[in-house]
Amino acid sequence: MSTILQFIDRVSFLAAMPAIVGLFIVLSVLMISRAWQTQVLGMVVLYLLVGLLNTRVIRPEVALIKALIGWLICLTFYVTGRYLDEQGGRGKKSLVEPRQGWRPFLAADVPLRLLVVLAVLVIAYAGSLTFPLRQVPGDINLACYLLVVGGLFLAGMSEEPLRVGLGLLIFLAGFELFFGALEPSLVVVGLLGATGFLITLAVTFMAVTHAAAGEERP
Amino acid sequence: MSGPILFIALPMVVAVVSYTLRAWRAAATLLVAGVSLALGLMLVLLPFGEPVTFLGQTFVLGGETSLLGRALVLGPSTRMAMGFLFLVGAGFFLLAWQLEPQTLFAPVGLGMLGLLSGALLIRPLVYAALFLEIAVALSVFPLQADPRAPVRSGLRYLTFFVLALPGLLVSHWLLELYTLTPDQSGLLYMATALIGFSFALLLGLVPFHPWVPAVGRDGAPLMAAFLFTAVGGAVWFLLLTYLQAYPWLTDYPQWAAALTALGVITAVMGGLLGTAQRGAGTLMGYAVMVDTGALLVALGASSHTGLGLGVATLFARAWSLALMAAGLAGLRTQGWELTGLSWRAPWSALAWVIGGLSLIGFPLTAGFAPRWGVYRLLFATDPGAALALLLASTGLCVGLLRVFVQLMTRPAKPVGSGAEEQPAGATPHQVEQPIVVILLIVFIVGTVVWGLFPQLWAGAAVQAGAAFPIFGP
Repeated sequence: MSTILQFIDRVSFLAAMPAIVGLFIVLSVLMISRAWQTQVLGMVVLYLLVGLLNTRVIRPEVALIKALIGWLICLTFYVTGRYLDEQGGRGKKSLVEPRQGWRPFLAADVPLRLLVVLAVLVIAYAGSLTFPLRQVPGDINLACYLLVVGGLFLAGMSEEPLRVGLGLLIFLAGFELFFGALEPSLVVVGLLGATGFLITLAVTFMAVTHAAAGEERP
Repeated sequence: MSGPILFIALPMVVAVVSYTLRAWRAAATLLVAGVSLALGLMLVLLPFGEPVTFLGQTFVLGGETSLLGRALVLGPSTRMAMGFLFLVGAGFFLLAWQLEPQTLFAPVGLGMLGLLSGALLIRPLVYAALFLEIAVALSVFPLQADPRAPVRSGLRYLTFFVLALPGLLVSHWLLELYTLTPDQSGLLYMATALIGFSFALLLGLVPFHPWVPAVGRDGAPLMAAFLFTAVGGAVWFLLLTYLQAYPWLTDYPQWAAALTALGVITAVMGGLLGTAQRGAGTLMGYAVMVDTGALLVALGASSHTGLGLGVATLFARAWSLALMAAGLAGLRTQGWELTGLSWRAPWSALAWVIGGLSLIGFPLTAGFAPRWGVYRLLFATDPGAALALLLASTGLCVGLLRVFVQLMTRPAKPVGSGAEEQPAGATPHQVEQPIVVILLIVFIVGTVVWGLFPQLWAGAAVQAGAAFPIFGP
């Protein structure tokens, strides 16, 4: 544990503006990408960055536990994505949208999504200035807004279970970053972690049933 | 074992046991129904606050105990709320024994009842929101049990409940801060706004209502009705607990007017949209919206009578929705397209229609007495709003009639023209099972008897309402 804490201490210089810039890049990638592999990788990085930011508002050990829960969530998404890919390979309709032409990893409506990314940045920035969360430092305030607004947009822009699930989890990650400063109780951390993990299980369950139903996707 | 812990731990243990026994589905479902019934009867019938010995174990119903350093408080109001939840659960699990035996409904439903009990018992209230959220995440599995059904209901339900979580958690912290700095009234306004926003999401008030018809349309019928009744009931009792814990919430001068307006708008929207529906499940969702509107209007009366009427409405909703969902589940075993289904499943069709009529407060049904009480209460202060509420129910009546006509129309071709999506591979059975018919007849007769003799259960509703000392007489 002490080695891990030393590592956290060594990378703590990232837990400020660099992490927020990283969060914005990851959110942009999640928003415009359609390949589940990219999205899972994006979530792994997102939970790392949120974990780093968490070290500034809660104890590093608790931040590490939160990051581990996040990576467990990513593992669940990865297993589901693989399973659905295999189902697609066997002739069943896959959850993952078929790749087309020269843009294998990008959504079809990239220009619109880029506009949404811009809107997320503007709303988050304006929100953090107009209604600042005074219990957390200024840059974490911006990170909370980025995650909450980005998560809401991600969840609202799709009816595909995995994407909606990612949006909800990002929304929750943003809220937890703020709430950790208010209520550092381990029971709350545990219950919020359990909630996030159960939401992941519910969403992956729906993704599997969604693929089985062979619904039309937007 | 301490009383409060029993009502959280036992349902969860039995839920796990019944899940492992799912190879014997009937036995597992009946076990779940039996435990739920036993817990419900214990809560309602056993003397409160006195030691009771059962099988050599002594426990006290009521009082306070500790779990993970947090207090679990079983007071008279929580007792009534939990008794309602477990008895409702028993009824639904009994129906699931025959109508949805192959799903996860019974074990997950009982586990959810344990979590909902935890939400009502635990203090401070900040943990209640987390227990509620975990129960909701679990509910998605049986809700989307049919792999051929669209997943919109589960997604929307989950989304709206996740969005409600931050408001409830942060408001608690704001209120704690306010007790330290009472001169900052802005904290109080912010907390009130957050609590109001969160409960609007949880109750499905306009404009946060899209999950309500979606759950009715795409969800497994019994599970959908269970969510409207048990989770909806838990949310309602949690709201009353908030009002009890933070009495200044009802001190706002706009409180009654805002609640009445929200209730009427939600009911009118449900009634209007319900008029145009031809889907049996969707209509169930819109009927729940109208019922929620009536609940809010009753609460907005800010009186002991209004609170009693609200609880009576909740009781009637449970019975009506159970009947309506049982009918819908029976109809869906015949096929997802409604045209002419009443000729193949007459008792299911009758159950759906009578359950629907009861839910909208039609005379001679269980839902009539409390709805009539709400109309009278509202008419004294705001006749226009009372008329709007009545018209909302009339709109749903039109919707019910349209579906009824569809059910009665003999199909001209094998595939009808039902509004709801037909999953591929739905295989109709030829006749309704005798045991299903008996269950449906029992519930239909119960609805009419409750409608004819409302005094049989009005006392229990008044008693349950009186357990929440929020308003004066």
